[in-house]
Amino acid sequence: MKKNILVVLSTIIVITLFSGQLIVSNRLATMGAALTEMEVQTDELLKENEELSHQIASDSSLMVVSNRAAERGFSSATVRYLERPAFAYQP
Amino acid sequence: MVRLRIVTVLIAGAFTLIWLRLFYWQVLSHELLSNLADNQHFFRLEIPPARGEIRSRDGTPLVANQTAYLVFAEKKYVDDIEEYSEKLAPILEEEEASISGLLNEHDVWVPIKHQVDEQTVDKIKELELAGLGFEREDKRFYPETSMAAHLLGFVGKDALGKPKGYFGLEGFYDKELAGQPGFLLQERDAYGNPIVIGKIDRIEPKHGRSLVLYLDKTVQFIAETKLKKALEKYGAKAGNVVILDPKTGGILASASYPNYDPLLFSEFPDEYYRNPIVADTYEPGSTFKPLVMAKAFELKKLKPTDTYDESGPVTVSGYQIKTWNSEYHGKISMSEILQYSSNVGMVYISSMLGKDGMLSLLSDLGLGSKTGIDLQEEAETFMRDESEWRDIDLATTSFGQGIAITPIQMIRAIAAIANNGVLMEPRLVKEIVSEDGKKIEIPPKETRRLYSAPTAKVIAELMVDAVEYGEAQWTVTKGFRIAGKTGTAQIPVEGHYDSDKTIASFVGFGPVENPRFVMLVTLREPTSSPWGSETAAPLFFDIANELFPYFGMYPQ
Repeated sequence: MKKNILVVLSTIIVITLFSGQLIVSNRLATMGAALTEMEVQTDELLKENEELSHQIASDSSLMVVSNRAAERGFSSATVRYLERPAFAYQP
Repeated sequence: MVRLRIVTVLIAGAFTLIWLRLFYWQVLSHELLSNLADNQHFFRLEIPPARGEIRSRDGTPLVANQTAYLVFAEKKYVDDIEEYSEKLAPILEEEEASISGLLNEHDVWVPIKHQVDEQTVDKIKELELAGLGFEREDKRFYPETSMAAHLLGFVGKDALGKPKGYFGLEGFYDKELAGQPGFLLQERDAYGNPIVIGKIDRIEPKHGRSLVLYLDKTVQFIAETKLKKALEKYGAKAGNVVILDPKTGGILASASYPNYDPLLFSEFPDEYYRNPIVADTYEPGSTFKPLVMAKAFELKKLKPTDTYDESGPVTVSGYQIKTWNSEYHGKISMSEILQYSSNVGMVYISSMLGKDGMLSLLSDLGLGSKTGIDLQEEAETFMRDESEWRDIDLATTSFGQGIAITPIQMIRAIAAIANNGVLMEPRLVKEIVSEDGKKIEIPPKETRRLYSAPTAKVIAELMVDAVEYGEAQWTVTKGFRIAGKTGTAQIPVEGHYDSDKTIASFVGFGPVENPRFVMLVTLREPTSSPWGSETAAPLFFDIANELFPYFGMYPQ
């Protein structure tokens, strides 16, 4: 009687494991496409990130900033330093 | 019986043939078939490392990377070369003939164009041309376009077609910037998708390290803009502006014209690639005088209070030496020798120094060797043998003629005066940043002591007088104590000096009490006036006027 139970149990375990392996393998085998999709998405996000970094770098370049400033009517400040007058100043 | 034997032989023969065929496939063709199977199952890819960035001192990039592609064609799929070229040419902005020439020239794999940007690749893909492929190859991206091109250098290809840095920082730090490629081996299914439970070997690439410079983008922009305008104003053929921090030897800015665009380097003549501040030599002229005078003070051959009787031309080894304007002022002080830029006064000082003193100065200045700056193309200046120095050579050297020096050697020597007499190694890179953000700081390096601190202080004061009372006094900004010296050196052409061709220069630093910058300006063959006081000096003060407020300096 005990022997029979062991045989049945072993069979159930073997069948369960086999089925489990079948299901897991089946699922994993079809995940390649999803993985590829994720890789493509990662690449696209990296490229987008790179493009945005370039845009920030280009837009903050001194050449662009000075050209835009000139377009908006700003001009280079002429710094004039006044000499101390030779006479005493009294209010 | 005979039939049985025939059948047996036929069966044995058939088995032998099968065995031989199996032997052929399994033993003789084993390697070939294994490779074919491997290529079908496994996807192999060399993962190129990202080249390190070059950043200015505020951390913003001067050079970064941009995704680009090599467009290639597999010849066996190209049916009509003319049609192929006709469709590709307008998108790639190439001549039809050059594309068809490439397709005719190669038999199997034809590289059509390197470093094509993504938008262009997308347009080409829409053509759906058979046999056209794209291979990723990053290209450099310059947010500030050609700013500091001579310092940066450019990235080209080596003999194997791999990216390689040439000239400037790209050349000097090529190994640091390049990194190491990675590798990917991945099992794939019939559709090319990865098999998740299959074999995967991945070695990550080691991306290149980034460089953070001493260079200040704003100072660089000011120097380049002003130099460009000055070249037009004074009609000069070429010009350099170098600005350095005297305390660290760090280069804050270096502008040279004519320059080139590092992205389109192949469209410029080769001679534009070398950085003139380290690769070209020139005769420094009168800007060399403070260095000689300081040496005489240092060796106690003269005192700042000594005088010289400037009564007329002097003769050395049969050669007559005059002042630049043939004016003589009688008894003059050491300070006035610099103010009048007196050649005959300097000949007197060199005679007091003697041959040993003069050669000791040249050796201390590092003539005949490199400064050690981190730029690939630095030239080793020529220094003649001790026995070859004649009295006339020593005399002309005292006023900066007859010797060749690079602009970086000149500014470094003046920076030593600003730095209490200590000569620093000029340097561009402040720190190296690895992929994981780890920073390796490169500390400033002292080369040697050139003058004692008191000597440096005295000569700096005499240089202030030279600015305030010398030929360039008209252009000086009042309220700032700037030490400086003008220079006008004739250019040697085929063994003699051409009086019409000069290199006008001005070197100085300020404020004298606590120098924030040292600047050297050189203009080659200015046509509006040959004199440094009328060309290089105004450019120096034009730039300095912008630097004063930027550095938070105000008039006293």
